[in-house]
Amino acid sequence: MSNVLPPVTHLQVLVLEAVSEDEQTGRDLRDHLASHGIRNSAPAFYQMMARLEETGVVEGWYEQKLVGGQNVKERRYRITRRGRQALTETRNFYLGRSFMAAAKKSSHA
Amino acid sequence: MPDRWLRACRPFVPRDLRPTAFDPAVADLERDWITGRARRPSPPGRLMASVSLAVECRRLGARRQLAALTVPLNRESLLMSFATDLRRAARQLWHQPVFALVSILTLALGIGANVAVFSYFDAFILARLPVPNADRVVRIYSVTPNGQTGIMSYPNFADVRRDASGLDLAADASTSVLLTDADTTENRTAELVTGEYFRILGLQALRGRLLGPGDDTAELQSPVAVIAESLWRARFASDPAIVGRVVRLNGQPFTIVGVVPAPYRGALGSSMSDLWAPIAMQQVLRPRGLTLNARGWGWLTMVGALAPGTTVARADASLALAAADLNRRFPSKQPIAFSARPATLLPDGQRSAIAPYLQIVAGFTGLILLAAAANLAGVMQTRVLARRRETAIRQSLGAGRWRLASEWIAECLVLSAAGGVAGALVARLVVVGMMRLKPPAQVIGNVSFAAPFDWRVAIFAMAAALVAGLCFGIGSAWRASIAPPVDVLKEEVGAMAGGRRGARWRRAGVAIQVAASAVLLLAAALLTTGLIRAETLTPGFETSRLALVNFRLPPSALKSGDTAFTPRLVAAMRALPGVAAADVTRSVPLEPSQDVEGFNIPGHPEPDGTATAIDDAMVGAGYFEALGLRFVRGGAWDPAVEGRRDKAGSIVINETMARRYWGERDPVGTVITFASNGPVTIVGVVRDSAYYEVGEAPIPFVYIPSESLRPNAYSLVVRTSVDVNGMLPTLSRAANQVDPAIVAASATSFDEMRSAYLSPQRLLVAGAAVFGLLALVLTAVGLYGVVASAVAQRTREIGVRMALGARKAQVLGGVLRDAFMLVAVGTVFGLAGGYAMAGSLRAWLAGMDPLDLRVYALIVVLLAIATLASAWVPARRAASVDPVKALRA
Repeated sequence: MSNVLPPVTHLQVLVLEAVSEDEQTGRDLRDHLASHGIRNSAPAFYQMMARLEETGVVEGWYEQKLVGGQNVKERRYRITRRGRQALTETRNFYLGRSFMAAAKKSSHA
Repeated sequence: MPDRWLRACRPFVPRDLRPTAFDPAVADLERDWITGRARRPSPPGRLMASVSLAVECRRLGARRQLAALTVPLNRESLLMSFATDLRRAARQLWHQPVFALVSILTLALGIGANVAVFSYFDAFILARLPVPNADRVVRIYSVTPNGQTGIMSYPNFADVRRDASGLDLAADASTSVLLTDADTTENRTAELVTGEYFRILGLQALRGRLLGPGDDTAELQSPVAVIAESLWRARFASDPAIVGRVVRLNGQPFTIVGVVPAPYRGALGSSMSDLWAPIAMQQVLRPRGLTLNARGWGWLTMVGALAPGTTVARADASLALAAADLNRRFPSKQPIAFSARPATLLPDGQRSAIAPYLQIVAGFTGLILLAAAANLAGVMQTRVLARRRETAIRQSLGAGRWRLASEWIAECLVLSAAGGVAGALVARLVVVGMMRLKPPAQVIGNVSFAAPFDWRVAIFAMAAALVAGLCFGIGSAWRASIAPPVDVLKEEVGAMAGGRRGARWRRAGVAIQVAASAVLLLAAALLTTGLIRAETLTPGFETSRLALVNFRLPPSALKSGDTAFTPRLVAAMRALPGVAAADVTRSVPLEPSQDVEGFNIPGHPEPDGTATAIDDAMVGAGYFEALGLRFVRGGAWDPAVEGRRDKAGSIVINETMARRYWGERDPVGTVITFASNGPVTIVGVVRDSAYYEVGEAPIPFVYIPSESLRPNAYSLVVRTSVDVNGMLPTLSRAANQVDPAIVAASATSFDEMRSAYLSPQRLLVAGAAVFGLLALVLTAVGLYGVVASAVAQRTREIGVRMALGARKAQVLGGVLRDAFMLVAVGTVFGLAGGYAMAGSLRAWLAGMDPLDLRVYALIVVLLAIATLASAWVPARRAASVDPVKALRA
């Protein structure tokens, strides 16, 4: 098992997990992060999402919606194959670490 | 289509962040307002939201740039970025030569003047004796109850040496001797020393040996001497066989046993010794007919070396015990006390003659430094304020305080380093200039000083400049980063040069500079007028065509009972063509050395029963004619009968004494009692003249016949009928013809001597004038900066006024009025301070009037001219403001 940290930050893991089941709007993702205590400004959040798009782990697009008779434009995101792979690798890395730690603990006991 | 207020700031967002960060954030806001998640604000609120998003986007952009450009912040990278800042600051200053030059020059003048004065101070006041034990060697002063330092006898010295603990003592006395070698006779300065002298100083012989305890065991048993390296090289041509050579001192053979290495020339300071002889030989070298054992004959000074671990205070305590023992064993009206002080090159008396002048000059340079610091602080503040907007933008883009601060600090450090180097150069120049104003021999003796520029002082000054630069830099950086960027960015362009508070500080800085330069200019002007007045004041006798010749009398003339020599010498002088009158005096007029005798005047007893102390001079009968002093009553004594044992002595008194003790009555013929020499008859009353200093208050004075007391050393006062300078060599030669052994120690004209005594005052005047002008230049520069930045700040206001009909003359007048008001405040404080200082300067220059209104008016006019010169250009600029352009800006 590799000892090198996966190139995905905790914040990015949170985002990837949120979009791994279904596509999400940017607004919902910000609310999701806020529920974890992360209160980035809107530009900072979208700049982070733009970087994720650039690296190819998510893809984003604008959608027009009619709300209360008014057109609303919102940015939506979904995970890519590469994103899913990065998420799996990251999960496996931390699971492996915690398994090793548990095994070490039981052997000491 | 998004809200136009929300899109208003999109153009201010970095191009690449518009689609990725700004647009989706705007979409979210709109969505929140439409869905009712948040209330839609009014247009200004929506604009503010847009500004806030734009600022956030710019911050993101700055962070991204920083992330790309910087390595993680660790110690090394801080240093590296600071080095970059230093390079950048140097480049920036290079591209702003006027600002850089003005700041560097300001610093250089402030530092240079102070370093120079300190170097001078160091050389004349603080310099220690050039001996290996300099840090342990102390000079012991014998102090009388009235605070005067005195001399002591050999038996007293021997007792103190025995009793004082923690202190090795030696005694010395200076004398001039006639050195004869190979048929040439010269007048040289010798120091008579006790055996421990050279060991105490830690000196080693360059050739042969130095004098030791074996050389002062018995009187007249050690006719040996050691000579100074300079005498060995100049007079004996570095003769390798000098040790063992026999020379004659005052006609007696002495063997040279060693050479004292340069630069040591004696511990007495007042004269530079050429040779040293054992104190046991004093009867030959200082012939007074007294032996070393005469306890009442004070003639020695003491030097000592502190034992390891002994402090000066402990030495003082031990000397106090020795003095108490002496006072108990030999009670006297004048109990002895001793005081040990570190041995400086110049002894206390001479240091105190020059120290006050140097202290005043140091005060002047301190004012210069104050003016320079105020100037620099003002310039830096203007610079900080001018770049406030730029700083605010950079702050809003994410630049941290350290980044901004390090740039300001780097700029100040580069400036102060350059200022420090330039200051050292200025100091070097000032020192060379000041050495030309070296106090004359009459004031500090024949001590020579090396050019006293001290690199240690210069390095200290540069370090001080760097610390000052750091303080200025941190202060500037603090001011630059303290204002919230949004507030700064909201300010109008016209208000860029800073708020009211900043302006007030800058104005206060200029007022300080004006006050400092007013003080200096006032001091310079008052001293100059005082000096001119002192030079034109007459001492009560005509000084032109008056010569003064000091003689070293031959040993034959010094023998008691030989009374024929002096009349022969005076007669030879009077016989010279071109000599109108001549006679001898023991006290030279206008020299600070003072003689006082006690008299009992009938009808005027002193309350404590002691004799009345009156200043006196011992003179020949022809002295009055030579000096041109007119008799008011009676006349001079008859030199032919004076001194005869069968006749009571005569004296001449001055007008002030006659008036004080006899009023309108004629004192001629009155007999008063000379406390140490019996009754004397007043034979004449002579007009008052100056005795010690021109311009002094009149004092009672007594002239005592030299014919009766036969002084063992005197000077000759000669009135010539031709140019006095041409006569000086003739006078020396004529004296030589009377006795081939006689050597003229010095021959000067009275005017030259008087001018020498005014030299410290001249030093003061020169210092005050130079520093006053420097301060004036600094003030003009500072004032220009303040007025120019005030005009820049008020451009819009001036534009509005002109648009409303103000005339150019009104605008010009307004700006000039402001400048004059500022200078007026500083001038009032400066002149008040100057007046206070002038009171203390008066003590140093007779004839100076501290309330000379013409001088005050002159300073006001000078400052007004400087104000006009520095405020005219910015005022003209203000008057030529185009209202349309100013309002559009």
